This record gives sequence, structure tokens and C-alpha cells, in this order.
Amino acid sequence: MRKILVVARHEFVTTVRRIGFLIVTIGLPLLMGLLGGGVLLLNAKSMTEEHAGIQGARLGYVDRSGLAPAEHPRGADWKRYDDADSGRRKMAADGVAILILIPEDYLKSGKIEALTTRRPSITSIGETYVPQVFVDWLVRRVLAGTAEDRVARARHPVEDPVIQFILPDASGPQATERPEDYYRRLGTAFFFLILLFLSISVVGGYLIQGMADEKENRVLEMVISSVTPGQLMAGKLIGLGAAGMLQVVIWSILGVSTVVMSAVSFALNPGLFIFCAIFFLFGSLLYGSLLLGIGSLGTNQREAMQYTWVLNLLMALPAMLWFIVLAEPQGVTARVLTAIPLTAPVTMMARYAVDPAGTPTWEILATMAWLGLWTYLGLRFSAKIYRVGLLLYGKRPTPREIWRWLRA
Amino acid sequence: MAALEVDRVVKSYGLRRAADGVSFTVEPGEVFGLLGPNGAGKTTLIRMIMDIIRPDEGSIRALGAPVATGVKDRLAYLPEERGLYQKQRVADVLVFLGELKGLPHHVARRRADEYLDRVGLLETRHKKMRELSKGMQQKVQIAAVLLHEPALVILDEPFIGLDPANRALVIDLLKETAARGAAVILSTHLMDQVEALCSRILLIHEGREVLAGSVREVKERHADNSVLIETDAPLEGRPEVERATPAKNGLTRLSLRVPPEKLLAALVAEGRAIRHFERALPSLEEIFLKATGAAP
Repeated sequence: MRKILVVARHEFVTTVRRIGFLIVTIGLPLLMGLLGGGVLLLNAKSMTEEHAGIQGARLGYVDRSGLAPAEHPRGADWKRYDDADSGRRKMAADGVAILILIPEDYLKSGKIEALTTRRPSITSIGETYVPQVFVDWLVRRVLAGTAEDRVARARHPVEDPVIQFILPDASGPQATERPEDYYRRLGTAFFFLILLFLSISVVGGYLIQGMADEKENRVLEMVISSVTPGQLMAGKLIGLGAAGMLQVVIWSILGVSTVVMSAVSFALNPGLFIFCAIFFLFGSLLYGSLLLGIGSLGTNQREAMQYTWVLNLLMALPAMLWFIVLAEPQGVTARVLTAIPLTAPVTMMARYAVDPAGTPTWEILATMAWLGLWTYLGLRFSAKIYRVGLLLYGKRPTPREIWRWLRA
Repeated sequence: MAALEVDRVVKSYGLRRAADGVSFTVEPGEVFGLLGPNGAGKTTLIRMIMDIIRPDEGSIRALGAPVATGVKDRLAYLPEERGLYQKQRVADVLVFLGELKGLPHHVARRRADEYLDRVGLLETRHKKMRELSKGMQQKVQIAAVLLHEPALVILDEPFIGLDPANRALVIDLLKETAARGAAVILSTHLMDQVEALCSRILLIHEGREVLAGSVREVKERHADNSVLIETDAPLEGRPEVERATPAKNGLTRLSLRVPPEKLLAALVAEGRAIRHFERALPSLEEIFLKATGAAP
């Protein structure tokens, strides 16, 4: 055990003292925050300006609908044309930015054409180019002769609807929730899904890079004359696991959590962090041991990465399918991903965070036991390959050789 | 108690036997040469001694116990394929390797400085490994191997990449280590270093023992009827002499048809001046080449 701790401390200290670690740990979230914040601000500014530009633009229109005439709203300096051609010809000279064509069959089809000299920016793609004041004017004309209060209601038939979601296991009138509570859980679950995925991936990255460095530096034979390959593997998993954890804690404190908390109102439940820590432990031990075992067959970092891409893909699967997992935490996809050992930690974390009441306790416990079993098997399997793979320099083992090591 | 007992060890890779019933012992305080051509099975044998790979048959005991037990902390191994963490500081690497051998942190730190001083590299302690030349890195590796003061040291080609001055420094260190009572096993192709350092040798070829014993014994066993002589007597054409060839330091090497003492007696009887007369023992290199079938 002492030797495992010596290896763990060495791995931890040498990793966190690297300049690269500091740059990634502190620089990356700062950069992301600055860039992300900057882009959001610019987007919001450009959207507001474009919207205001459309709403305040001088309008021209051609009305062939035959609807009852009405006065232009107060302050509206609109220009009426007899036909589309003359409107098009004259709009530039008249300072008209948007020309609206109301066709003969408008009442039946509701179709409106808008010709505009304005070019949309990427942020204003959804704009209709028909200002709200013109829409209101049309409503009044359609409902000509109707009382003013009814016209007002027709313009907003539903004001601030009160929505309650009935929970899947609803058993009485209490079992409902407001949308904002649901969105809060969704945001929280997304945060934990990304946090857990990132932290396990970061540990994996350190492990594979460290092992490749040791192989390329030819230091391993000297090290394993002092410790067993199993002790070395355990020490690396603990030391680099701690370094990865430290990085994620710093990220959470520095910026990631702030961004998430400000974007979506965020439910910080300490229980979720404990849940996250447990699944981090299982996830990083299983993924890390398999990475070390299979990665040790490569003679350098490039080869190690070639051998382990399937593991990386599996690890990333819940993060790629987040929208399905979060939308249907008890659905087939989420359950299948919970059954696959490498995708189970992140999936179960997300399922529990988004739907704590609906995720059965037995399934959580069974997943932990299942992961415990696979982590044990993964460690044993990898220790056997790692023991021999460590000393492979420049020679690729055949599948038959690997099979022999596994049986040894 | 022997420092190392290797007993009828067998290791196969597929159909090839890398070790085929090899046995030997190494005593404390002795420098033992483990020799053999490339691919003879030396590295396999050493890796089995260090418990990096396990033998198929036979047993190995180091310092009186199987290596898989806690005895590893008192062993040291400098592999042929070696290097140190290039991105780390010299002293940190040594302290880590010392701690892996069971030294407490503060002792490892003190010893790292002592041994760096011993190999003349104390001023590099805060440098990164990659800033050191190949020869300097080699000396740091030697320091890393010796800093926990092991009772059994195995060095695979320790002199590669060292200039003559540093080679002499390493030889001194190894002699000191043996004088302290540690057993030293040296695997090298440099036969002059073996002759200078080793008391006994084992030569293996294709996984099997070819010859073993003290350097003197082995040489005498392989000696023929040759002498090295310096005399004023004409040697060509004498009935005792089969062939005379010039040797180093103005000596002549004679292959004799009779035992050397007969020639000596004849020369003395003739009243010839004899300034040098010595049995010409073959060099280890000659024995090595002959025994492995590589001699021309």
C-alpha cells in the first residue's frame, strides 16, 4: 500500500506542477468564459438592434384584400401604393425599407409578402419582417365592427398560461411540478452529465499520456523492478484520478458552475455531488484501467490512442445522446446505456439528476454493484496485459500472445 | 547465505527456449559476470531474477527469499533499455526511485544529493533530465540504482555511452558497492571490464550454460601450450617451438610442442638471458568467441 501511495503522490505532484495543467485548468475556463460571454453579448446586441430596426422601419404596403379601410395607427408614417410594381419602383426614393403585399385572398389564406432591403444577420434569421404594429392594424381591420375589448382579447387570447407538469408516478393532486422546476432539474442534470464526462475523460487523458511518456522514456523496467505492475497501475489511477478531480473542482469553482447557474437557475443539491463522486470513482477506475491495459499494447502515444478509440467513443456516448437521456430518463436508450459498463456512470448520474423520484433505488444500487463487478474485472484484465505490455518496445503483440498473457 | 540462487530455471517463448535449465549462485561481496552473445537469454534471465517475468520451471531466491516477497527493496536493477523521466527534475526523479525502494522521503532526498555529488552532478539537481547529456543521464541512472544501498545489484550493460573517465568512476562505485558486502551482477559485452572487475563468470548461449567459474580458472582451462617471452635467445627454428608471433610490449608469443617448463629449463641450461616468461592465457574475448562458436 505504501508503494501505491508513493506512485500516486508522484503522479499527482508531477501532473499538477506541469505548466500545461495550470494553463488548461485556469486558462481554459477563463478563455471559454471570456469568449462565450463575449459572443453572447455581441449576439444579444445584434439581435436587439435588428429587431428594433425592423419594428422602426418605414413601411410601404399594397392592399388588394378588400378589407374595410382603417386609419393608420398614430405616428405611423406608412406609404400606400396601388400595385406591387410601382411600390417596388418607388420604395427606395420614398425611404421605405419594408414593402408589404396583402393579396386578394388574404382573408382566406392569411398570406402576406414582405419585400425588404434589409439583410438579416445570423442572429435575426427568425424575424418575420412584418412589424407588430402592422399586425395589430390588420387584426383591427379583420375584426372591423367588433367591440374594442374583444379586439384586444383576440390579439392575446391566452395571457401567461399557468402550466403544471404531472409527474410520471403521480398519485394525487400534489404530484405536479412547475416548468421552471423541471428546467432547473434539466440544467442541473446537464451540468452533472458534462462534469462527470469531462472529469473521467481528463483522467483518461492523463493516464494515456503518462504511460506513453514512460514508454518513450524507457523508464518502466526500472520502476517495475521496485513495484509490481498492479501497484504501479493502482498508484497511477489514484494519483491521476486525484489530479483530474482537482481540475474539475477548480473548473466548477472558477467558471463552469457560474455560467450554468446564470444561464439556467440551478438546483445545487449536495447529495448530487456525492452521487457524482461515487460514479466518478467507478467510471475513472474502469475507464482508466482499460485505457492502461489496452493502451500499454501501443509503443507510443499515437498507437495507444489508436487502440483505445473504441473506449473513448463509448465514454462519450451518453454525452452525445444527452438530449435523449435527459428527455426520457427512464426510456429504452437511457436504460440500455445504463447496462453498458462504460456508459453507465455518466448515464445513471444524468438519469438520477433529472428524475430523482422516477429512478428506482434498486436500479441505482444494481448499477453500482454491476459497475463494481466490471471495475474489478477491468482491473484484473488490464493488470495482466499491462504487466507484459509495459515492456513492449517497438513490437506489436499478436492476438494469440495477448490471449496467452490473459490466461497466465 | 548466497545473495542469489538460481536453480534450473527454464523459460520458453513459443518453441524458443530463452533459458534452458540455468543454475548459478552469487555470493555477497562478489562481482559476478553474466556473459553471452546478443539473444543468448541474459535479459530474460535478469528479468526473471527481478520478478518482472516468471520462470516456467525452476526457482530463484534472492537474499534467501523468493523475489515476489518483500525482498525487492534490497535489490537494484539497471536495465539495458533504460531512461528516466525526461520532463522531471534530476533530484525529484532520484527521490521518487529511492522512495519506491522503501526509503523515507527525507532519507531519499539526502541520499539523492550524496550520490549526485558522488557522480559529480550535484549542480544539476534542479535541472530537468532532458537538459542533461546522454553520458550525464547515464550517471544519474547509476546513482538511482545505488542510492538505496542495495544488497544485490544487477547491471545490464552499465558502461554504454560512458567515456573512459566516467567508466573508471562507475568501476570505482561498483568496487565500493561490492566492498560494502553487496553482490554485483554485471552483464556486458566489454570483456576488459569483466576481467578488471569480476571474480567469477557465467557464459550462456542459446539459453544454456556454456562455461562457468572464476576468471582465472576459466582462462587456465582454456589455455594451450603458449607462453609470452622476452629473451636474447633466437626462438625461430627451435625444436620446442611450433610458432612464434610478436605480442604486446615487445614480448613474443610462442606456441610450444612441449610443456613450458621444458623450454624454460632448456633456455636456463643454455645460459640465455630471460627478462620475461609467462604462461600465455587466452583473453576472455577469445574464450567467449570460441565458446559461442563465433571465433573465425
